[in-house]
Amino acid sequence: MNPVTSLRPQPGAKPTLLLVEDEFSTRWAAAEFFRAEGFMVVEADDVNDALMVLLSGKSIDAVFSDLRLPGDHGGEFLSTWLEKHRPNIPVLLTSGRTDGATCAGTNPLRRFVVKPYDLREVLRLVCRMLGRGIEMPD
Amino acid sequence: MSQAIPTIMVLEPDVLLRMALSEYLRDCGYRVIEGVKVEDVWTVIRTGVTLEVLFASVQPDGFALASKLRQTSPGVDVILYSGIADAVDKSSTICGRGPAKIRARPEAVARRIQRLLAGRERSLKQKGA
Repeated sequence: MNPVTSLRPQPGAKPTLLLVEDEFSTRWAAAEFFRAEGFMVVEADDVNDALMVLLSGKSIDAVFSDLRLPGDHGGEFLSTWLEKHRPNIPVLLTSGRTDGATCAGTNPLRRFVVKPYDLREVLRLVCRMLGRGIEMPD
Repeated sequence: MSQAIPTIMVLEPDVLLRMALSEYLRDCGYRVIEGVKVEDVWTVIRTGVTLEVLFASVQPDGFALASKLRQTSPGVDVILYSGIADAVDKSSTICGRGPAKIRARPEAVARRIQRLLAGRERSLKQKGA
């Protein structure tokens, strides 16, 4: 059985992913992929937009954010904000720089994936964080 | 026979407006691509994705975008919207069937898109007949 298939959200329980990415093609591809996998996806292209969504009362189950974003704040700021104000929301960070992994720290609800990423791997990580909140052993 | 799902692009810089409208249109059964900047539209066009309708704000570049699309991609119907009455009048000269007075409720937008697509289908049938 395809392990990704087994991790897909079940019908009727559509988790909402906040996707924060300023590069349109990357955001579009990821959004379409996650929608096809049964997620609701809210697209934001910078941290300000992400915060507006989070403060709007929209229910968000997980955040997938680029670390490098335009404006005064990047994904690291968003991750810190979420840790303080929405500590139960899992956050998957991404960057082309491998040292971005340090931003995820030791919190099991904070993970990092390096760019370019395989969307199936991203899906697997998000589903794991949604399912258990911590990574399960392979 | 399965029918292709029409693709609508919503070009709106305001994240909350874009989110609400896009979610509504997806619930209506459309495939929705969300764009923030005008360049996003050209990126989609370049990939060869067939866009049936572009729903775009007049501000900041809606008129220029609609004019250029009319020349380069006449198959894309454009609905420009604005809260400014003058802008709506002006858009009627650019968009043909498209312009929308927006006190935009998502339901009104969806109805407008539905009418637009129905008109397109009729037109295609007439051409084929």
